[in-house]
Amino acid sequence: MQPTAVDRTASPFLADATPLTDYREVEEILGSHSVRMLRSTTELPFMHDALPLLEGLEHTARRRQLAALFRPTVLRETHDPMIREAVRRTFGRIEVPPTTASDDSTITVDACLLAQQIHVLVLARFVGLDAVWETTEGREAFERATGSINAAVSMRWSLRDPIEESASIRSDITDFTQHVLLPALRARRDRADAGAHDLLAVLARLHDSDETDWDGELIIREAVAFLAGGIQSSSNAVVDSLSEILPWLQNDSTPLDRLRDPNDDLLWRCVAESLRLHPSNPALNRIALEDFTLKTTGRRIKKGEELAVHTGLAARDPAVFGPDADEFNPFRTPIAGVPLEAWVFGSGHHACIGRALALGRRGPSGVLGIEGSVVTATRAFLNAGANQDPGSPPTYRQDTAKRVIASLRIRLNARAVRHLAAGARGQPSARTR
Amino acid sequence: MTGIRVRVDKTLCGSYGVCVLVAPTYFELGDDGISQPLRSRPEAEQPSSTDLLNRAAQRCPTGAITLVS
Repeated sequence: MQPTAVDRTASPFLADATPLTDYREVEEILGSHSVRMLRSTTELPFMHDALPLLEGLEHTARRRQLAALFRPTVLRETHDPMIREAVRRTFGRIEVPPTTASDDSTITVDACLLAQQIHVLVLARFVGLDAVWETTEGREAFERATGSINAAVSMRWSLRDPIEESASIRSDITDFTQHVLLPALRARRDRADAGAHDLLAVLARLHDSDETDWDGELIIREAVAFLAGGIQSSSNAVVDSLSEILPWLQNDSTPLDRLRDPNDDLLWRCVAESLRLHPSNPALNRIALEDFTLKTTGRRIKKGEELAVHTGLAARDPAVFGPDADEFNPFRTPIAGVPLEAWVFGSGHHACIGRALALGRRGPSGVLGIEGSVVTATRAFLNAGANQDPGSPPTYRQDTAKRVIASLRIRLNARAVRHLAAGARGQPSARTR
Repeated sequence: MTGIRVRVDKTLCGSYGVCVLVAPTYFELGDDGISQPLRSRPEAEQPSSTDLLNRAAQRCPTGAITLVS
């Protein structure tokens, strides 16, 4: 079964809300000061007072404090090289058996697993969990906790028993906090590196400042929020991109060389187009703070009315994206003022702060400026000669109302994998597809 | 459109980047993460320019962008 749209009967948090699916309404409501996010009571224990759940001036103040992590210079000089190293290390973990050592031999891997391993490293370094990079034990401890950390921010979509799931998440996060997060935080504070560009360093500096009221528990919740917000959504974006690009590549006229070229923005467009079709959060919930009327359509909203803001359906609005809005077309040009990926990263106060880490930033003329982790990781798969395994169609998770690929078996070229693991940035000289 | 002036209040900008997404030819984030207009006095290149700039100003979460005729 492949859920292609929000199943409102399976998503209780949306069931009683007024659905907004029109692109104009979605864009307006995301930027409106007349609504606020409707908090999920199941997720609150893991996230309260963390950036995603703050509102108004408090949110803006926190956002400005954390924005230093996403400045163009930090993205370019710190995060971009780190992302490439995470990709290199992850491809270096792929076992290339001696029997497949010839140039044309292939290795079958699960793209979901590799994409997650890459983003475990990326988010660990972004947060400042040095042990995840430095020791196998640290990396494995983090990987074991990743599922629960991811689940902490998406319980509203879960089809599992909420009480059981909450207890399981709490246990795993407590264990992760004791063995990974707190030692990393202590190390950050002992080192007192004023120039460190990771989340724990920034939070530790805020904690030590007389001007803030940070406490240790809040640092943990903020770190978990970033880890949860980054790993699963970015991993899914890589896998979704591959699931669209690989069948598209079957067309001989598709320019594979362009997708592999880091100076060409076609792959960026492919990733953005895939995100438009497969957003990490296909719907957001809001509650009206007052009676008001939407300027774009004249719809009247009552104070206290719950709204299901369907960013995923709005991203397929034919009036904005054309009659082929349901199809994958990276050459698409939306109408002026509309991002290619629509508003799947949110907008207004709750626009995803990590968008630039995942999707990079482009210059005003559309040329690539900074490449994000999703684009870099997806290009690595293509450089490794990725082919979809025709005998293994993707499988989908059954424990969530969202469309999430659970497994995508792909074949990689053994020589290209060795090439990537050795740290080479381009593809091998011979075509690997 | 001719003569319109774009201002970004750097003390209000929260580095949300919504303006860059709505009007990428008119705004970019500087190395300090703060939005800056690429042209303080955009010319009337296209009829949609005013609309784009208005939308960028309206969508700014902190109201940091103002357009002055």
